[in-house]
Amino acid sequence: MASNALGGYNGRILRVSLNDGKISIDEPPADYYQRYIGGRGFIVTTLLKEVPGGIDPLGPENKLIFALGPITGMPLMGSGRNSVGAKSPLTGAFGEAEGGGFWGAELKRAGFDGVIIEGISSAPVYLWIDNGKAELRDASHLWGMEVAKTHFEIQKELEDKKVRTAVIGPGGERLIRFASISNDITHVAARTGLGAVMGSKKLKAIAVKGDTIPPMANPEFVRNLSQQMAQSFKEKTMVWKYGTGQMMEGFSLAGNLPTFNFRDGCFDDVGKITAQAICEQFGVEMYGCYACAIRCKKRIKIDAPWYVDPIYGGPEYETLGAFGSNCGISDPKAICKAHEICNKYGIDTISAGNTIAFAMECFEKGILTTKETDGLELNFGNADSMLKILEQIVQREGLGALLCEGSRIAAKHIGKGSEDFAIHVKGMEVPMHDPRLKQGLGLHYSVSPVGAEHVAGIQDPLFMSGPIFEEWCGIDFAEPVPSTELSSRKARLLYHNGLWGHLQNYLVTCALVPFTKKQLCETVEAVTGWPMSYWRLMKTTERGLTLAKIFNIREGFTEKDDVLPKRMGTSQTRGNLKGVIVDPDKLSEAKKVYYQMLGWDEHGIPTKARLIELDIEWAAEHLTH
Amino acid sequence: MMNDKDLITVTIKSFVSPNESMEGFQPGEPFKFHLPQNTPLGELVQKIFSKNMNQIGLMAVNGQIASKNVILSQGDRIELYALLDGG
Repeated sequence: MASNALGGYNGRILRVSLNDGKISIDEPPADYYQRYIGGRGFIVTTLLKEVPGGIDPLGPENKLIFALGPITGMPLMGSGRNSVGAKSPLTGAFGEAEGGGFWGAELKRAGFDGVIIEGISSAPVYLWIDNGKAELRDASHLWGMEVAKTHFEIQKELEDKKVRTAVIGPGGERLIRFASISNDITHVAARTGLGAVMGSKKLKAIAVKGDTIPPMANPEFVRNLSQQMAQSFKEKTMVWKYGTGQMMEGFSLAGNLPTFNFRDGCFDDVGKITAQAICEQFGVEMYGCYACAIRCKKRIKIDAPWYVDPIYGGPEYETLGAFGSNCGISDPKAICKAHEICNKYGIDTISAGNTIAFAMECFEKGILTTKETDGLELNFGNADSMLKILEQIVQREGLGALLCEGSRIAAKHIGKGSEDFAIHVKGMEVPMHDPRLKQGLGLHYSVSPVGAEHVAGIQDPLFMSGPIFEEWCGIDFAEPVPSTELSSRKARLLYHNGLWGHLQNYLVTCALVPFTKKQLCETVEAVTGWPMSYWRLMKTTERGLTLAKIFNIREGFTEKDDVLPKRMGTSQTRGNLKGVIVDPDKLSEAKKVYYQMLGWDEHGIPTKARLIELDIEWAAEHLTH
Repeated sequence: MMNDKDLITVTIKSFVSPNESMEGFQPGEPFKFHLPQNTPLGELVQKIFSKNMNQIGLMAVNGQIASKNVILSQGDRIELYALLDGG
């Protein structure tokens, strides 16, 4: 490495053992930062090196790791986020999620680049980090509290309304396998069940206060870019208007809006559940994250027939789809209430909505009856039943006690062919982008180490028109590729652009901020002081991706787990995509090409040569298990 | 010289930003636009959205997916989507 500079970082990672309350500080060398850069890179390295294979994700040996990136906390849009990871209780694989807001930036300002949580506390605690110091405090009085109340109680106890919190709700305490971690109430690290890991450790919250941003190598560049972005973002993104979920009518036209548990991709009542419909009827305000002018978060309030508390924000696109079209629900108030329940109890809306859609299909097919649902008519479109079964999930009661394990475990328990329509990859429910339209994203869903995730990977429609290649590809692409194509050249798109998509998991930046590749490269260089290039960033991402793959192999995952749900091999029943499937043979072929581009063999095992090339030969020992 | 009777009026709702010259544009809000008869959809889109053509994932006319070759008619409702979303 050319430089030992550590601009933008603190050079310190906090380590907390809940077994004995010991708190210490790691000071990794500069080349650790340069090699793994942040976010997923820090998390996967720590998990591989420190956590034994085959452990119980909810046991004392699992570690919960909060990680920042070089840009986190800098005065630039999209820099408020943090990454969090562990072995996932939902998938049993590498688990990672990201949350926005202010918490990540505050941790950076408090003097740390990450926090490693070890062991299990004998009684509920929360961690208080205050400008370089940390202590564990009793949280017995907070245990059982909902997310917002916990947040305000901690602020009250610490006598500071500017304290930022990362909190679990009762969902995490009850070890719901898709429990989330909430930053300042509404900015949620939702996926892969990390709230349950936090709950298993009896850690209710991490409260943070910090006042100092670590120095940057070239603050002038960052200041100029920040001003430029603030002035021009409206030319590049629309999310400032209604947040995500504005284009659902287009999604429905295209066949990309999961409907009736992914049986269809178009929903007749889509106009009732769009972000515009929600904001126009129930909107209170738009709000945002640290240093960000976009302000894409919506806050809503409803009084009847269900009170929806504005403190819990408003639904994003994924939530509108998961509880709306995918459950056949056209009542926007019911969807908003479902969103509020998920945020209040701290569970992932995608997994919760999809698991309920799965249960609705079981009910429709007679696999579940009113006997199992305690009298609930769990039909598609029944908003009242949807909300009641969601309440059962968060309370772990009745059928909810099974559904809170996620659709994979529920289907295994229910049987009777229900596994065929449990829509998950590696146990994680599929987001609201249909792989039959976005076939490259489908390939990404299948091979991603964390299961079906939508933020990384590629968005196929971007590659259907010519000029995109100049900005998005960076490397010599010459022709548009149809969204529904699945082929070797689509695998090539995923290889190059998927690595770029993944980069936000490592830099811990926001996908909704319209940085160009050039701007992001230059920003990393300006913050860290390291000479930076597109190629070097890609290699950093590839290194982390390969380590995550090795983590999964150590846990017993094979190429047979890199698949899509069976339903994607069947046609939607109507609409634009009728007749279009994900061909299993084409998926298998594209997957092998993708593996080989990554330097993995045809079974998806990273080769020794690629480990050497990525300078992670140390990880080879984990392939022998 | 074209006079008004040679023009048709269409409504455009777009989630992709137009060129800087489009004053008063709001994301997802319909606005009226005048154009010559027999204009193909692709030509209209190229004219107004040339800077962000690469963000357009789907074009629709009157609620139906449309190709760039569709000839536009008086009163047509045109929708442009990026097909990207998340959250």
